[in-house]
Amino acid sequence: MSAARVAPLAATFDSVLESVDAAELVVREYAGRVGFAEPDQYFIGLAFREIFINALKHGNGFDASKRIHVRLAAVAGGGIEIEVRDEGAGFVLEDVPDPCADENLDRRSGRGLAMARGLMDEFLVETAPGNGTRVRMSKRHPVAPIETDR
Amino acid sequence: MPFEMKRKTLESGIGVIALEGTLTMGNQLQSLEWAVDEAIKGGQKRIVLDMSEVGYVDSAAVGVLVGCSGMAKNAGGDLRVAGVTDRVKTILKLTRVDTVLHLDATTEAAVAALSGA
Repeated sequence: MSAARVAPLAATFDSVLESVDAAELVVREYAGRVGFAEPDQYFIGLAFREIFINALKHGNGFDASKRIHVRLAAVAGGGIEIEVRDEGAGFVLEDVPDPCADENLDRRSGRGLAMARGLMDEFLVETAPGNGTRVRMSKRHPVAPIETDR
Repeated sequence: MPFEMKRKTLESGIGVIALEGTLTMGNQLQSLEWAVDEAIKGGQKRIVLDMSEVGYVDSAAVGVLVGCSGMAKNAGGDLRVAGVTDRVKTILKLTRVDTVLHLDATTEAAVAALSGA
């Protein structure tokens, strides 16, 4: 199947730590199907993992009654689009310290968002207190897969 | 690859903690912190973390590396991270943590750096 014809995929995960590896595997396999090779699959998987863990830990607070919604799609022209949505309380994006600022380099946490943003080409966070959080990110394929009739 | 941790002490008293597998949010990070804390409390303040067999780290692991480095520094010692792969180095550079960790290409180079301290 050509990368351009890979169907979108939607999945929902329980808010437990055990979901992280399983969800990341789904994303890495999908990235492979839309034409990414290593190490891109690795970095896409890692970016997703960071956002998924944020949804699990900060969004849903490991609350078993809440789910994490994931949507994957192939991007026209070659690439992957990933959406992660939690059912949490949302947050104020401007309140998140920049982990790459000199004064924050020795902090023990707070790097997940920055890591994911740095690993992807496009990155959008939609969140507000009371509305949950949705992260949409995408990475373009360096070379568009060539479709053939064979 | 499952996580494994092996510890040894060199004749010089330098501690080497060799890690293998994935270093991500979970019990393995706690184990690593305990190992470093135990080493420092036992008087071993020069420590090398051999990461040559670690293929995958997430942001939680990066935070623990920073924390372990800080533990050694606060105890008047030094912790060096040796042998990180290119992929892991990409993550450390992305987060600018490469500017606060002491990174060495090999365990031997890290030991040499600690021996000269």
